[in-house]
Amino acid sequence: MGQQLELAKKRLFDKDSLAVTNIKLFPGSNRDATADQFADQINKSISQIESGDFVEVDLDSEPEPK
Amino acid sequence: MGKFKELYDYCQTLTPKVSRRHIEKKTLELTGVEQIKAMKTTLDTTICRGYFLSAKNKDHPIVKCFGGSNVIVLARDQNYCWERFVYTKELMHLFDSDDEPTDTADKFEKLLIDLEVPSATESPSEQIMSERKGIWMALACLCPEKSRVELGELRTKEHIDNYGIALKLRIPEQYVPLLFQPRYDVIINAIIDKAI
Repeated sequence: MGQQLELAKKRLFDKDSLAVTNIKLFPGSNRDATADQFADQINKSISQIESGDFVEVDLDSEPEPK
Repeated sequence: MGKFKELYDYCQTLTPKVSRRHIEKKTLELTGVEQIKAMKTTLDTTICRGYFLSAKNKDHPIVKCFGGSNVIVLARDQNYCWERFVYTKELMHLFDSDDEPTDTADKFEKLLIDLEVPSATESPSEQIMSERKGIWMALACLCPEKSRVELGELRTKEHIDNYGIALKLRIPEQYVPLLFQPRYDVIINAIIDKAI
C-alpha cells in the first residue's frame, strides 16, 4: 500500500501521536482519487496545522453573505 | 440516532439560509460535546474538501492548540456554499453511533479504499455508510422540509432552477437534485428512525 497511507495511519492512530478516535472525510471532485492521494492530503493538512499554517473559523464573527 | 431526530426537529423551525451556528449549538447541546473547533488549511479540493477529526492524545500539539479533541478542517479555497455544506456534513459525525467511528488504522485504510473504489463483494463498512449518511443529514438540516416542499413545487413548475435553489439555501448546486429524489423522504426517515 502507498507510502502516504502508511504515514497517515501512524500519525493518526499511534498512541503517542494523535490517537484518533474518529476521522471522516469529504471527498473532492475527482472520482479517480486514490487512497494514497486522500492520505497525502490528510498528511499535508496535519503538517500545516502542526506548523501553525491554518486559519481558525469562528462562525460567530464570520460575516455571512446575504 | 434519536439525538439526530431532535436536531432534525429543531431545524424544521428554521428558515433558509439556515445558520451553521444554530446547527452547531444544537448539535453540541444534544451530543454533550463541549466544543468543536473549525479551521482552514490548504487542501486540494479535487481530492478532499475537508475532514472531521476526533483525537484522544491530549498531549499532542494539535489537541493542545485547540483546547479540545474535536476539529473540523475545511479546504481554504472553496466557495461559501461548499464551506457551509462540508462543515455541516462533518459536524454530523458527532452523532456517529458506537460502530461508526474510524478509530483504527485498518478501518481508516478500508475507508480510503472504499472512497477510491467501492467493493463489489463486501458489504459496505459502518464507516463508509456514516459518510454517506452525513450528506443526507446535512441536507436535511440545511433545507427544512417546509422549504423543500415549497421549492420543489416551484421547481416542478419551472419557476426556479437548481442554481436558484442552491442560492436560496446556500448549498452547492450539485446537491440540490438530491433534495427532490423520490426516495428522499424514505432515506431521511430511515436515518431518523435509526434503521440505517
